[in-house]
This record gives sequence, structure tokens and C-alpha cells, in this order.
Amino acid sequence: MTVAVEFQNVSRHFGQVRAVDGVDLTIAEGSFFAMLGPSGSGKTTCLRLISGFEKPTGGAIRIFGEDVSNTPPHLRNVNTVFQDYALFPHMNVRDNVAYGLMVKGAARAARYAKADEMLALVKLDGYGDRKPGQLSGGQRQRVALARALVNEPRVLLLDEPLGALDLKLREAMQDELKSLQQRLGITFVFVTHDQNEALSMADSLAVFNEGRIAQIGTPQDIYDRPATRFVADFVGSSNVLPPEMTRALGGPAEWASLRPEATRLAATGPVTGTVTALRYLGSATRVVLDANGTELAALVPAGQPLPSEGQTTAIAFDPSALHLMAAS
Amino acid sequence: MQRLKLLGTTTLALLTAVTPVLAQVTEIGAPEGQVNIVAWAGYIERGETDKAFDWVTKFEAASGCKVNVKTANTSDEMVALMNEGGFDLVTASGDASLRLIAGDRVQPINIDLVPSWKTVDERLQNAPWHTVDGVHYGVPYMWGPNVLMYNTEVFKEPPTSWNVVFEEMTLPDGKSNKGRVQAYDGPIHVADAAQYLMFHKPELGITSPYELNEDQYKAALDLLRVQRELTSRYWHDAFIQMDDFKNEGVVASGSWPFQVNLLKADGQPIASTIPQEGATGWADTTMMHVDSANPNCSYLWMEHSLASNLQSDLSVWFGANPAVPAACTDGRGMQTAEGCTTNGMDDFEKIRFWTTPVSNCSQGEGACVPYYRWVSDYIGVIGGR
Amino acid sequence: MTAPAILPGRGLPDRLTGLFWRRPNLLLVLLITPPLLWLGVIYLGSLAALLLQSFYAIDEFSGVVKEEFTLKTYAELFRAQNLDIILRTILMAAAVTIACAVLAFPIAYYAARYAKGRWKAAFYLGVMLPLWSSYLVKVYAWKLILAKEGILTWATDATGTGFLISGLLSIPGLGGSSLSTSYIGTFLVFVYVWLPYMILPMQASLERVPTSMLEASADLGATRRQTLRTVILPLALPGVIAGSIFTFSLTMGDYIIPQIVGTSARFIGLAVYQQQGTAGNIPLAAAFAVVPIVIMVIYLMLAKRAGAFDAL
Repeated sequence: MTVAVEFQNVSRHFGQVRAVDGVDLTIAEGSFFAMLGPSGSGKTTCLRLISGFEKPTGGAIRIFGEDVSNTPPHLRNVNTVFQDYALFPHMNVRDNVAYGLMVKGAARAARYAKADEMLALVKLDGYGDRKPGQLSGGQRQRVALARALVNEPRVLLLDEPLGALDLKLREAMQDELKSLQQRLGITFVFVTHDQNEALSMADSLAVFNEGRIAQIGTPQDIYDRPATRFVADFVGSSNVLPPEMTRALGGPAEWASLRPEATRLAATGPVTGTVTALRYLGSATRVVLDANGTELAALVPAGQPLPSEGQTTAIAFDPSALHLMAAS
Repeated sequence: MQRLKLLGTTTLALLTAVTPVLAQVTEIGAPEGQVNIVAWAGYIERGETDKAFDWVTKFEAASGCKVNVKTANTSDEMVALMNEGGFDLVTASGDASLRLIAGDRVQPINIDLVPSWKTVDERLQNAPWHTVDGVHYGVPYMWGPNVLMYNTEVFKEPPTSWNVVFEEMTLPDGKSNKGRVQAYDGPIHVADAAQYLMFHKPELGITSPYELNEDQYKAALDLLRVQRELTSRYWHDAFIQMDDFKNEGVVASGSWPFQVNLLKADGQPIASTIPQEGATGWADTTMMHVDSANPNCSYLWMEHSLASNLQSDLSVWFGANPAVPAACTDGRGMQTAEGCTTNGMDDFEKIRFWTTPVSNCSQGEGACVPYYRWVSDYIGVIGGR
Repeated sequence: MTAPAILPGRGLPDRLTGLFWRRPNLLLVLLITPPLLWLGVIYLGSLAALLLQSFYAIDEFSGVVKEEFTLKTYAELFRAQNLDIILRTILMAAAVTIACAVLAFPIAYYAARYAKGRWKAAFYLGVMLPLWSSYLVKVYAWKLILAKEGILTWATDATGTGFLISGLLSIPGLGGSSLSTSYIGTFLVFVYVWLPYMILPMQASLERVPTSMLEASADLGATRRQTLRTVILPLALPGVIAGSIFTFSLTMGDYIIPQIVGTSARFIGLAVYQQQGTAGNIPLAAAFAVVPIVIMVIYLMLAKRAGAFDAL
């Protein structure tokens, strides 16, 4: 395995604020890597450290083995799709896409040919003469993608690329990005705060919290075996059980997570709660209970009987689904 | 609309035709409470520049006419202000007065209503710059030469010729005059050049610096082009000229006694002289606007303007000569007989007074270059053309 | 008791708000009528009067305007000395505009990109402060600074850099006996006086360029210089054009500065002032005043063709 990007104890402090604090990270070449976390968790700063818009206060960053600590952005063979797309409003789509070639001195004919090729790749053939202002959000997103790919970077960085799109378009773009990445074989690093997006697209992902990586692994690892309460909370909409409840349910006195889909309602059991809300999700209904101050959720598949609000009920679960984790 | 305009024009023509007969005031009525005067800087002082020089406040108290003064910097500006209207009186120089008369901007004066008229210098009473066909269009105010102002640290002896401002030369301090002299920023300065040529190039046959044929005019402009090379900046604002003598290293320029006196009072090493070529000069006349709204106050001011104590103080203040000779000697003001002599009271014949150049002159019909060409050509000369 | 569906009115403000809600155009009409009247009657009206005047001519001796249609006054503009004035003014306005743009750019860029909080306030204060003092005071102060025996000469003599000024002043056509009596002096004062009018619109337009746009350019491989030329300048161009309209037209119209600092050679503003004020030649003054209008129209057309407003 070739390592595309490597962080060694990297920090980025803004005065007293530790935006990134001692991060170690390796991203394999050709992978689709996601950085997930709430806003302010340091994921975007990490991305900007790779592109070179931020300089680390400590530690080392290597791209394909080369230390880039002193390399300015324009000399890094890394390109970015910006959250706001950052298309140049005074240039048409073709010139936007060809920009990376233009600044490297490519002849007009050559760079336009390549730009049109890129536009075809993102399914925007024939849009070359339009101005960015005449395109829809999804189209602009594709132009930004084409522009970032035109230099054939070894790593493509995507900063919340789908954040501004509506749900349906977002799902379509997720599939498209994934297949594009597989076709091109380029390393994609993308930042998101949407756990579903991260889980569905990434080969591996890092969950950020307060400038540090809380957990790094495959989507499966993260979802099934959250390492900390924070990961469980943030990623899976899991039930987080305090130690005494874990013990009541038959486990050791430790923090544990329990996925709602592994949780069922039962007539009797060691833990009971009052139904506080019912949320209809289509294929199932999410039942929220209050068990002595701890919020628990269970998924009731469609067609099964539902409790009513205020009713008291016990929960049952598949013991293998109980996952113990660190307190923080 | 067309008819209305025609009607208007006809009425205007009728009014204009009868104006000279109707306009002349026959008796002085009740004062209107104010009088608006267009004047040169320093002409109408109310003690604000120097407490000792005030000939307005007492007049205001005695007559009940408040005096409002609008200062003008050039004769052209005076004509323009009178054309705009809204003023009663103007202290017009000879290069403006005839234009005002020709343009029907001023009205004839009934000298019977100005008792002091008989005290006016006889040399001025029928002067051609305010008397046309025997009709008086104003009351003489003051006259004086355009002196050569110089720096006494550079010129130990007064310069004897205007050549210090017209031709490149080494001044007594051993340095060139280039960039150290100034000239007046008004087209009438062409006459100063012509007067210089009159003395130094008699073969041109100039008889009056205000009556120049094409050849004489061309020679004057050529001289002014030489002067342009010497002159860093032309002056038109008396106070900017004084600043230039103080801070800009200017050591010689045509000027007015006004600036000379103020700079001397300021302790600057400044003096003035009338060189051998003679000097142009100005003789100013208080003239009354044809549409004056305050004729009674205007007449009261004209009478007041000839009072010998006013004339005496005015001539000291401005360094010029009173229109009333008694002011030199009767001791009612600050002026003395010696002072008048210094200011050139006896040089009346040597001074060629500003008058408007016209094309029909003593050299023949259409023989002379008219004033409007002086205006545009002088702009060209200053622009380096 | 339940609350009513329609709340009771509270007097005139409520009734007015209701009226404007029912007739949205009414408020608009009320708001823009006074400025439109001002613009239409006062501004365009006087412009029309000016144009009309320029088609009259003056009787040369009496100085009275003859109200008959003629192109004679415009023909006068093409006399050599008047063409000189026009050319001189355009060159000066262009030089002042370019100098202002070059000087203003780094200041505006710093203010737009880097200045935050207190520094931003300091920037605005610094740029605006000169505008608070009287224009005349500033110009007279400059006359004293630039005078032959003025502060600048004193300073350069004291530091042994006097040769710089004498070098400048020996440039043929631009120099003179002192900075205060040369075109260079006029130029310096113009640049000083109009600089804020270039900085402020430039800063506003630079501020509107998102940082991500500059990062995108660098990300795609552009050097600082390429980013400046291909992204920042084109996007800042509307501000530069707005600023240049100020500096260009203000220089073309000014009549005070060349009167106090300079060689006495006329500029359009001074020619207008002299023609209408001292010479009483309002038609020629009007014709002169039309020149800057024509030049600005041509300038804007060229700017539009060059794509200056594409980023708007």
C-alpha cells in the first residue's frame, strides 16, 4: 500500500484555540477517505493543511512521502473542490475549467480540448460557453469538480462538496462521485458533517472531535464498534448506555452502545421506560423512551404493533449488539 | 412661444432705446438701506484688515446704507459680475469701463447730484474711459501706476528697466532671473509688453500700447513668450503673489502698490519703482449699474467716495493717487504732498492707463487687434504656445 | 377567551403600514419621487441649460451673450490654445488616475484582506480624515510644502537628497523652478486630494472577492502574480473603474488646484471658471464644460467594451 497523505503529530493552533491538536493520520493511495465531525472539530483545517492554505504549528505532513511543510499551495499536486465552489464569475465555464492549465502555460487549443474532456466527464458537455452565474447549484458543483480534476492531481480534496445541494441531487452526486473516484483511481479526501454521507461513500473515515481524531477505521468499524461515547453519539444515532444501565442489562459496569435496530420492545425486561415520542421513518418507526433519565431508541419495523405515547414498556436486545467503549 | 419671445425682444428693444433718457436720476430720494459694490481688493475698507483704515462704518451710520462688497480679481471678472446683475456700483478700470458702457450695463451719472464733483482732479473729469459723447458714466475714484515690485536684498539699487521681467538676464545677486519673476495673469498684460517695445524698438512704431496692429501685436506676443520661459507662475490673486514673494523665491514682478505696502508692513525686504519705460496704470471709476436697485444709496456712496479724508486714507492704504487732489494736501487724512509725489501724482502724463483695445483705433478702421484676441492669445502664451 | 384573528390597529403607523402592504408601489413612488425630481429637474435641467448655452456665442467687445444658435463657440474649442488646454487636462487626469490606482491598490487590498476590527477602523479613519479638513486649506498647505523655500526643500536639503527634487524639476516640460510651480506639483496635489475617492470603491470591490476565489487560483497552480492578474484585478475592476471615474472627472473639473499650485497654464476647470467668471464668456465656458462629459462617455464606453463591468 502506498501512503498518499500522512500526518505525524500535526497541530494547528490559532492563538489559544487548538483547531488541530496532535493528529496522526495515514490515507492510502486510491482510497475514498472521509473526515467526519461536527463544525469546529478540526476536519476542515486538516483538509486545508493538506492543500497548503494552513501551515502546521507542529508536526509533519507528507504527501506521497515528500515533506510539504515548505511547499506553497500552487506547487502541491493536490486540488480542491471548495464548499462554495469558488468559480471565477468573470470567466465562462470552459475558461474556469481550463484555468489550471492556463496558469501552467498550456496553449489555448490544448487546454480547451482538455477542458471539454473534463466537462464531458462530469456530464456537462456543451456548457462551456456559459457563465457560472447561469448554472444551477448542481451544475456549478460539477464545474468545480471538473476544474479541480483538470490538472490530474494525485489527491483530490473535497470540502463539504454536497452541502449546498438538495437531498435527491445529493444522493445522485454521492453515487457519481464514488464511481468517478473508482474510475480515475485518484485519492479522494472529503470533509463532511453528514454521517450518512461519510458512511455510505468512504472506504475509511476519521471522526474528529475538538481537534483530535476520536476514531479512524472503516464505516463498519465506526458504526458497529464506536470507540468512544462521542463517536457512538455522533455517528450512529446509537443508544449510549451509562455503566449502571449496562450492568442492569447484563454486561460489565462500563459505557456501552446499543444500536436502535438491535433493540426491540418487550413486555418485561430489566430496563423499562416511558414512551416519549414516535417518529415515523417509512420502513420502520423509531420509538424513543425515557429510562430513568437516559434516552433510549428502538426501531420497530413497519407492520408491527406500536406503543402509544406515555405508555411504559421494557426493552430487549441481541446481546451481541452490546458494544463496550471508552468513557471519552 | 415664438410670439412671446418676439414680444419680449421688442419690449426689451424699446426699453433699451429709451433707457439713457429715463435712467438718469434727477433727485436723491430716501436711502434704500443698502448698496452692493463690486470692487478691487483693498478698495473699500471697513477696518477689518487694519483698524486705522475704515471709510465705511461712519458712512453706514450716517446714511443708513449698509455697504456690501464683492471683491473681483480682474477687470474681466468685474464685467462678468456686472453682466450677471444684482449689483449697484463697480470700481471699474479703464479696460472694463468702456465695455460696460458699450454693453449698456451702466447708466449715466447726474453730476449735479454729486456736489463734490467740482473737487475732482481736472485731468480726470472728462477722461475718455468714463466719458462718452460728453456724458459721464461714473465718478473717478483713484488712479495709480502698475509698479515694478522687487526684492531689496537682490536689487540693492532699484531696477531701471522692465527688462528684468521680460528678458533672461543675470540679476545683481549673480543668479539668473529664470523662475524668479512673475507677470500679471490678465490679457491686459500684453500692453505692458507693448509699452516695453515702444521704448526699446521704436522701429515698430507703437504709439499706444492699447492700439496694436498685427505686426506690433505679434512682436508683443513674442516678447511675452520669452517671459513665459522666465515665469514659473503668473499672478492674479494679490495674496498668492505676496506668498510667492515670501516662499517661492520670486524677486521681481509687475504689481500694485497694494501688495508692496502690505509686504513692507510685514517687514519683508520689498520696494517698488517705475522704470524708465514708464508704466501702465489704472484709473478707476465708480460706475452705477443700469438696473441698480438702490440708486439713492448709490449716489450717497459716490458723493462719500469723493470726500477728501476718504480719498486721502485710500491713497495711503493702496499706495495710489486720489481722484481729489485736495486729499494730498488738506491734512484731513493721512496722505501728504510728498506721499502723492512718491505714488506718481505728477507722472499722470507718463502713465498709459488701462483701456479696452478695440479694432477701430487711431491707426484706422479695423487696424488694431481687438481685446477678445488678447484674451485667447494670452491664454495660449501662458499655455506655452 | 381566545385572541381575535385580526389584531386591533394602533393608529396611524399601522394604517400606513397596511396601506403600503396593500399597494407596494406606493411606498416606492413616495421614496423615489424627490430624488428623481432632483435628478430630473435640477441636474438634467441645468445640464440642458448648459448645453443650450454652448450653442450661443458672445459679442467680443461688450461681452454680452447673443442668444442665437451657432456652432462658432464649438469651433473655438479647436483653436490651438484651447486644444492645448483640453489635451493638457486629459493627460493630467489620466496620469492622476493611474497614480491613484497604483497607490490605492495596496492600501485597499490590505484593508480588504488583512485589516480587522480596530485596524479596519483605523484604515477608514486614515482614509477619511483628510476629507474632513477644508479642501482649500489642504491645497494652500501643499503650496507651502512644495514651495521653493518650503518644507520639502528644507527636508531634502537637511537629508542631502535635494538632488532628487532638482532632478525631477529638470525634466523638460514637466519641471520648473520649484515643485509648487510645476506640473509635477499640480500632479502631486491632485493625487493627494483625490486618493480617498479611489481607495474606497476599490476597497469595497476587493472586499467582495471571496478568499476562496484566491485560494482556488493558488490551488490550481497560479502564482501570486497570476492570481493578481487573472482573478483579483478583473474582479476588482468595477471598483477601479468607479474610482477612476471619480479621480478622472474630479481632476478634469477642478479649477482651484492648478490656480494655486502649478505653472498658470490653464486646465479645463480653470478655463471654465475663467471663461464664465472673469471673461463672462458663458457659451465658451459651457462648451468647455461639455468636453469632460464627452470624454467620460467615451471612457465608459471603452471600459464597457474592455469588459470592466462583466463582474458586476
